[in-house]
Amino acid sequence: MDQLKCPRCKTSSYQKPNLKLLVNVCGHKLCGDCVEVVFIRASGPCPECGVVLRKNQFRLQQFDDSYIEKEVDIRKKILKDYNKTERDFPSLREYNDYLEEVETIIYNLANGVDVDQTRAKMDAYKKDNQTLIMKNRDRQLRVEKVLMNQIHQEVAERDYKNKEALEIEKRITIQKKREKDSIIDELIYSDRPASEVLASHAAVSGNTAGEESSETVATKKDALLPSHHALVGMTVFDPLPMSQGKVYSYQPLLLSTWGPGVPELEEMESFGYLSNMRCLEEHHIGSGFVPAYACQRALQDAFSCLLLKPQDI
Amino acid sequence: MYHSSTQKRDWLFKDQQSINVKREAANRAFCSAHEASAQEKGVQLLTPVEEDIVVQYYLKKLVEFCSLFNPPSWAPLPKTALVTAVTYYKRLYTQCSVMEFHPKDMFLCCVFLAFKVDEYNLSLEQFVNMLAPHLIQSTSEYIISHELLLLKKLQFQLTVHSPFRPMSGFILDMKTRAPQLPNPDMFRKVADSFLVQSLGSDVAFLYPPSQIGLAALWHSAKQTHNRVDGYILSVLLNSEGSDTIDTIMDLLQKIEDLVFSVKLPDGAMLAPVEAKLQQCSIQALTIATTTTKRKRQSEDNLSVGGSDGKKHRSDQEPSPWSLEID
Repeated sequence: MDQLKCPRCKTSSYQKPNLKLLVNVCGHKLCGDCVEVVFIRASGPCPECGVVLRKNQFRLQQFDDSYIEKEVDIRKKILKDYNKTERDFPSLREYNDYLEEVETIIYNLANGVDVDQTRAKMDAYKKDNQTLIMKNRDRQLRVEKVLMNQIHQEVAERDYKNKEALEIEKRITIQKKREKDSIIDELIYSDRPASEVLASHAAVSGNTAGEESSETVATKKDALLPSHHALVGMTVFDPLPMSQGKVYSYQPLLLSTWGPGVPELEEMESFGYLSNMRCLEEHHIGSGFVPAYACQRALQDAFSCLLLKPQDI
Repeated sequence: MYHSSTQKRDWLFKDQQSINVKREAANRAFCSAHEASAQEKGVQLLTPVEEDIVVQYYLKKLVEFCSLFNPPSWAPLPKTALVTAVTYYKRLYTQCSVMEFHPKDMFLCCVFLAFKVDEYNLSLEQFVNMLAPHLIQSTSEYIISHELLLLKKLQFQLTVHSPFRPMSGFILDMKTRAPQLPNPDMFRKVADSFLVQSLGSDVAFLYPPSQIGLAALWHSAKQTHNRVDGYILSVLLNSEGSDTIDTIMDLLQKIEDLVFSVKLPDGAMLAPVEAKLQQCSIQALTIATTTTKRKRQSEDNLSVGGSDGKKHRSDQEPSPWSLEID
């Protein structure tokens, strides 16, 4: 991949590996140092196109193509104002017309076509639809809030589950260690024979393992149910009914050949057909060709539709 | 396999009448489309009978062409390719009129396509180099422009089941299951020429290839004073009811009769019809003058191999059926 180069100071990412090119509203990029230099005062002209820019408008580039970056930026700004949804329009046609208008505006601003006219149109629109814009903005914020809540909830649950799992792991290891230690102690200090000691410990450890597994199952089950307050403000749907339908059972394909039956490949030899076939040369046998194939094919073709009568056509 | 093929589904008719109806319908369609311009120019369009003569004549030419087709340092022409070519040709002319596509050029297109389908693959150049020199350019142009059209008319149903393999199958079966009968290999040659002769008739449209193959064998045996009826009745149709057996034997006889009843037209019969066709072909009807078209001579152009020494073929008109086919 080519090294990145800042268009002003010509530093390449080879010279400075952590070089970052920040992009502004006009679509042109500058490296971090140049941004500092050019925008010592908070605003200044872009070195490439001369458009007046502000320092805080610089962003890290998201897209590889700078045209796209610029266009997306413009789109975000415009959609803040042009935020009507389908339900605001009486018919689909009008909604589509509205969407087309939005696209035209975006295109004009991105390509510098009729900029003044477009801006005038935008201002007029904003004035006319002030209330509707505010309403839509509020609605969007609400929806976003609910989604954010849900996301937080899910993250919290995941963390909780992870922690639980870790706890359980720890407990199990501690338990095991204790077991081992107690076995060793008994073997050293008690007078009972070794096999008895081991047998009694095996019985005990079997019981505790059973208890632990039931515990872990219980905790897992609780974590799966979503907690109550995440569901407020959201409609919950019932699971869709699953249609069972008839279970598939294989029916073999019955094909009528209107002729006598042809023996199988394996029977060719036993019926004596192969003795009447031409001898195969080496290159036939080498490629896997067997006289039974030719034989069967000839017979299949001979018997197919042999008994087809004119009235059956 | 034949029993599940499009050949059986779409190209097997109940009787000769159905086929004739189709041909007449094609002729009528052309006539009604070009009635006006024909009247304007004062020409008469061909009748179905006349069309039939043209089709049959050029069918003969097709078979001759294939029998003489022997490109240097190339494999000999397989007989299945011949059957495929004839089948395409006949299927085309049950749907179209000769006035729309003159068979003289179209049969070469059919042959070329059939060679490709039957894996007797020749490039266009190699193919046209086998023709007379003055035909090379026009033929190659014609084939290029009409091949897709031909495919469309054939509805892309390119697989043709010919009777040759069934016939071999029967011979094999006879050798295995009825060894007491005389060696069937001697029947092969006559049976092959019977099958080539059958191409002139409509048997392929009326009977499945296995029945035609069996009929060929049966006929050939009769010619050499042997009878394979024993094999057919006791071995092949052993497990069938007697009425089925009767029907089948009846069928074989019918096939034989049909094959020998067809008489292909010769040059004399063609000449007046050809003259009429010149005037009412689609080119003549749609173009004001024909100065740019070459004059078509029906006989002389078809000397395969290029040299004038082969003129005698078109003069004498020997029977194409007596050609040596291996």
